[in-house]
Amino acid sequence: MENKLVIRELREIASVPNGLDEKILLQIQENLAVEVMRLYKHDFIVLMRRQKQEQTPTLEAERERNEFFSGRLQAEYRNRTLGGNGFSLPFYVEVAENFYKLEIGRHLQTIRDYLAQGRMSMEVNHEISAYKLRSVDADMRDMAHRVADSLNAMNQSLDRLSRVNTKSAVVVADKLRKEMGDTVQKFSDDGFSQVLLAEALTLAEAKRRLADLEKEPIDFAVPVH
Amino acid sequence: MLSLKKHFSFSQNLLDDAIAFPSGNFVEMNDWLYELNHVGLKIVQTQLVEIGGKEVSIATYDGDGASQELVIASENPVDLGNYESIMLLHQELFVALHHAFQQSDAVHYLPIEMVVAIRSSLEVGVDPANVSRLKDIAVDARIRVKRGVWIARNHVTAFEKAPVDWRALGM
Repeated sequence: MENKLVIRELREIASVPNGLDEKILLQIQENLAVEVMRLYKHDFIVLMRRQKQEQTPTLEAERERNEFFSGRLQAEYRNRTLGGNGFSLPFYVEVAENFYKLEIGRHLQTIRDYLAQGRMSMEVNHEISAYKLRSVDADMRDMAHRVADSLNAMNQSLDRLSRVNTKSAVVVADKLRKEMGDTVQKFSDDGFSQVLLAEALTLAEAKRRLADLEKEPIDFAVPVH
Repeated sequence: MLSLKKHFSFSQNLLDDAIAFPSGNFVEMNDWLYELNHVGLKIVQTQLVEIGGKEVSIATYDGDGASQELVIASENPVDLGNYESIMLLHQELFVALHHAFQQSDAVHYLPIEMVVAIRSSLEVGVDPANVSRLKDIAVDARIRVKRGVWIARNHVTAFEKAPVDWRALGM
């Protein structure tokens, strides 16, 4: 069961071609859903208690809960779109910027954590070389690939942030791209991290090129001389 | 430190209740939607950001469309530390669980799965030499993390269908 749009304005905007990313529309909804859940927690609990006391049949209970949550979600969305009418592009842009900034931060943290894990494995297995450890430990063998995937995911998030159609998003993306490069460099403060990052950067580049090649249509035309 | 915009995205009431932990730290907290759906304790990884001049922590998940949530004081968050400090503090358990993950269906695991597994092992007081019990804990940690991400992507359904039939969802 995949997540779906329940806020009417977002569903409508997603149903027509307009270049807006459905992922961001879902992000607006789920971020708002957490806030609604917290702001109206007491009301949600009262509803659940009443349903339990009255032994409301399952289908009826589900319908009531859905109406209750969706109604408040819809109302909160309208409150935040100021005018309260239709889709809000500034809201979309703000969520997109915040989302990609956090995604970049998350991927950087993932790399930091994998490096820490690798160093820990080296420390625990200090009697064997890194080369040997990789040959016996599937997790270590795979680590450069995972760091490479995180590097690519981060680059992808930066590209998407640049495409959010505002001047400030482009400025933020450029600044983050520089910070990201500096931060990744700082990770290489020990021999293990240096080797792993060098390998991951090469792998990331290779994976990006391969993905680009796969996207390019094959030209079957016979050259005419 | 990252700076986030707040004009549309954050309620002032929740921002007032938001608190800060060092970036990258794992935090354990209450979540009534987790309780309703029998997911157990909620553990998230957080990022330190600045919103409207205030330093706060945001929890993020590994999954498209999953919510990015403020960490708020009223949900009783407990700082578990960062990945490195957790591994160092529970080194013996980390090594045992590392092998347990590899011997279960997982060739590799996410840092958060390891943290959930360490936390579960400590909760039940399992002996690091008990390989079969640790394998069960590793499998359970993967499932709990998956369920948490699902809730973060499907709040309305998680409330509507509570308790969710996890088996029917393949989790």
